[in-house]
Amino acid sequence: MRWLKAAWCLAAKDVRNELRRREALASMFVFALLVIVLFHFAFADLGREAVVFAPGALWVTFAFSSMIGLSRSFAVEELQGCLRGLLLCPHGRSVIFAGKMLASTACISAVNTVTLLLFVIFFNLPALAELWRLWLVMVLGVAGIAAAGTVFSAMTLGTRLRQSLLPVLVLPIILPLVLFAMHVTSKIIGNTPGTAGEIARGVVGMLLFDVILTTMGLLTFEHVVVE
Amino acid sequence: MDDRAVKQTRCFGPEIWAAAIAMAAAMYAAFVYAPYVEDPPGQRIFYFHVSSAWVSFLAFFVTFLAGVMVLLKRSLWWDSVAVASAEIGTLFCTIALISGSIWAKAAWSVWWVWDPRLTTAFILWLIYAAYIVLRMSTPSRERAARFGAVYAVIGFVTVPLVFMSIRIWRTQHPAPMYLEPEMLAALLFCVAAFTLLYFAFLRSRFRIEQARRASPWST
Repeated sequence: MRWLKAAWCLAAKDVRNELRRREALASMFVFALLVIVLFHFAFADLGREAVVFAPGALWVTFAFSSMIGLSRSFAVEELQGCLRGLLLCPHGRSVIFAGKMLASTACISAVNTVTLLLFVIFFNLPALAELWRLWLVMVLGVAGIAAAGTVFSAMTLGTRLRQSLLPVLVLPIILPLVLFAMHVTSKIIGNTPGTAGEIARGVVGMLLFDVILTTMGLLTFEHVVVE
Repeated sequence: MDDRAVKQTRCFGPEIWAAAIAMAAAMYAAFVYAPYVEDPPGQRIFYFHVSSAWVSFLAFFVTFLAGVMVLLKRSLWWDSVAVASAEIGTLFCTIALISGSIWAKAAWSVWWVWDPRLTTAFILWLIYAAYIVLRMSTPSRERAARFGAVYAVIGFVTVPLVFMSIRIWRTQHPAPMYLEPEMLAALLFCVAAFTLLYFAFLRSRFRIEQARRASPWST
């Protein structure tokens, strides 16, 4: 119980910090906008139907823009020795993982919610009725990305390449999650609507990934933080 | 002590000679002993292709186990095993991908198909390429051991999910080929020879790693 409270405290601190500085939120948002423009010229302008490419494009945008948020996750703690303060927390290192993962999930989901709406508007997707389902799938996916990203973001602090290494480490690992998510999204809004069973299979895959990655993060986090 | 470690890495141990003889015999098994098959063309590449794929999976499994040991025991000895096995696994994964691609061109007249097995092998290759980059970029050896172990363990446990997630997209499978008894014998022999080669490489690479650690110039 106290462990949960400590994790919640940490997450709240991070979200508050981000709401005051807004640098990661802003850069993620602008990045997502740029990617939308690029996707328009890559696909829609060539006459491809938006429902065909939108599910894939949406998740590529989510995956890449979340890299920006995740790379800030631990870098902000380096200033003035904040990380050392965090490590002194008496509940073990897994608390730091849980707090950081929660905060990243919240911040990235917030930006992605706006991105999702903009996707629907810019590409004229017939998805307004399905928005809440898409939103749930997005949060489920972001939780997995945040779980993997939190472990590797802490790791990159101890490397020479620093944050530029993060996408190289995170993307191969989250690939199955993104594939599941694209599949579910395309079954919800794509031109070949899927049955409930098909959607459920993808969602189960995403849940499995989230559970496995969160467990691995809690177990291994103490080995990746650099003192 | 250092001199001895360095000298050890220079000489070929008995395992290298054993592997060399086994590989020569494997060539014989694949090119002479195994019966000729007209379709698919270039079918003989199959013996080395399957063996390389097997070795790469074995190597990644060993890296995973060694990673678990590093995290549990904090031992650098196991880390030398992990790094050696990961590099050999990546090498054999590359061989399996390239030989598979050549075979695909001959059999299906395309260089690449996004089928679950090929794609899983490719993603596995990407994960271990990232593993090697991570180690290259991590300055302290003790830290590289910890980071590498965590990455190898997480990378390995997600592999079944990779396979599942690709199958959800593509449901077609390449039909498993019927193997005549001689072909099966040749295949099993090649797999055994490659496994021996793997252990020979592992031992050599492990010694090099240990020698590097013992050297006074190491960082």
